[in-house]
Amino acid sequence: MRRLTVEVKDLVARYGEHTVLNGVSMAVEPGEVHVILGGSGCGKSTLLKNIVGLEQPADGSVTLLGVDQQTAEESEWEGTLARIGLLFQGGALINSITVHDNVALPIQERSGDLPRAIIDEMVRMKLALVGLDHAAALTPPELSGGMKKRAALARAMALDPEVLFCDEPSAGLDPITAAALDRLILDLRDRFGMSVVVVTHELASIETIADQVTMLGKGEVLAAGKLAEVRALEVPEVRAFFDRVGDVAYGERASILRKLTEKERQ
Amino acid sequence: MQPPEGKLIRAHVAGIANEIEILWRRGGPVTLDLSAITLVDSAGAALLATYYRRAVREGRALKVTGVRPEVAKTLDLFPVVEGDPPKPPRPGFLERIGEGTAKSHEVLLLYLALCADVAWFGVVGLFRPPKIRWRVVAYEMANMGSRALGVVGLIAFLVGGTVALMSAAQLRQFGANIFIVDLIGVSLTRELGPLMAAIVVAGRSGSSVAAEIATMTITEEIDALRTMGLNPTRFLVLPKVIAISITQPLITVMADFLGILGGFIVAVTYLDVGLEPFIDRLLQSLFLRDLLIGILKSIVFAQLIVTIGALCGMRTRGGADAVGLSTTTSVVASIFAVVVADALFSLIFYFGG
Repeated sequence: MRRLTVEVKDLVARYGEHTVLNGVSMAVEPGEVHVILGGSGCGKSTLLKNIVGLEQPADGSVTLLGVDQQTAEESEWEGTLARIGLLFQGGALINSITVHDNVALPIQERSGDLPRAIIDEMVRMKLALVGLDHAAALTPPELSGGMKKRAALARAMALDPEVLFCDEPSAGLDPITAAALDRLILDLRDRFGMSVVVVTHELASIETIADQVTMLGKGEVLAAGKLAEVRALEVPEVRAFFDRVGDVAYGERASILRKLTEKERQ
Repeated sequence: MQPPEGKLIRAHVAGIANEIEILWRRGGPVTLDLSAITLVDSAGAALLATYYRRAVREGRALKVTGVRPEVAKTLDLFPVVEGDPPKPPRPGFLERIGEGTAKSHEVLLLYLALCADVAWFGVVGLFRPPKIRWRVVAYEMANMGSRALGVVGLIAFLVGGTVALMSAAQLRQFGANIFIVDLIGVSLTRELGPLMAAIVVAGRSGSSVAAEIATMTITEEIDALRTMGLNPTRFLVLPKVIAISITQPLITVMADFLGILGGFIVAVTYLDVGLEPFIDRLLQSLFLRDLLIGILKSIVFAQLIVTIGALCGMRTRGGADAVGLSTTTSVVASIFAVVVADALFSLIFYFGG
């Protein structure tokens, strides 16, 4: 049996009294692009944070690259984190250092004995992979939104991760830049055969990259499987998401003019 | 040397690089036999790329043999960028001086414009809308004034006591014990009280103003205010300037009192000066003018602290590190400005009688 890249079982996550995720389960196969989708506030980012250990689940289990987060020794978990890459929503680049140094940072921290020339060469390779080798000497504030995302992707790829997590990769980008970033993520997956877990609510992005999807709604899994299967479901929340039907509550509220007119009639 | 288990990966690259370096330094053509290598990652690819680059640069012969198909496939994944990497521009010495001078000039103009805005909105806001936000002024008074009382009071008390203690030994030699009162009274009200209070407030409130406005600047809140037609100086800076201009004289008077109290305790304990002679002498030596000069200074110092903090905050560009830098700059600049202003006051009062 093939080992799963990510396995989440009955995960419960809470912020204080508020339950954000309630019994969520999902599995990511090696080499697949798995999209976690859903509307804003459904718990997508919380699920991602729980998977990579940035937050601790209140209940349930998370196994990442065969390592159980709850039972693993700290050093074992640290070693597992060195095998993953995480692309943050805003890039999370360090603004005071150059793009080159941002990408070099995880390599230096994890492989301090590597000669400087080899680290520099690794950085140039990673920046070339994302088409940013010309921008190595710039600092993040000098980059456009799309370039920041690509630089952050190069940093996430710095240690040849076995699984790449992307939190809203196309957020804040124009459709063309977002599509280019999607293609880049797919290209990297095809080249290196890594698993990719993407959190997004961008339909165009989901259609381009998803092998498998897990759809969340109100902290629970609404649907899971291949995109085409999930799209075909007649679950109202799933339909609302794919058919882009918004919350009609605002429209149903009576305007002040209507209220006054009704009062006059009475 | 062969890498363990035929893996040319990050964990083994440093050791292999040392071996190749020894071989490289011997001179002559170098052949790297990769026939035993079954796995390579980006660190391994970078190792080969590094020596390829050196071979090109130094005109040396480098041959790679026995590359397995799976290894070749992986090596093909990593692009090797030709040419030297771009370097960040490093301006020359004279260029830096010129740039620094131009920047100082620009900062000075911006500071003057900010002060002019504060004065304009302060006067106009008293008479016509948009009026001064008095509720925010009250909040800032509590924030920058009441909450600073404890630390300023304690420092003033300790400094007053210390100045008295340091002077006591000298005064005793001349039998001039009673003059400790003049020394403490005048030095605290005219000089030390306003200065100490200003330095503590610069560290406490000036840094907070700079950090708050800097964060608002980098999160585009200041731009949002502008697009809503709200002037950030009127909306954010003016209430703080008014608040601190009210609270700082009060803090200073309290610092004067507690400093004199500290000096009094030392005078009573070490110089046998009684309560009554102390108060009599204090009333003789201390004029209302001294107290008013201290209060005037405190108002100027306070306005310098807040306006410098606000300017540093508004000029922030970048991210989290820039907020830290702005905060540090604001504290250093405002303390420097306070000391310079104090020196100017001393000159004016000395020569102006």
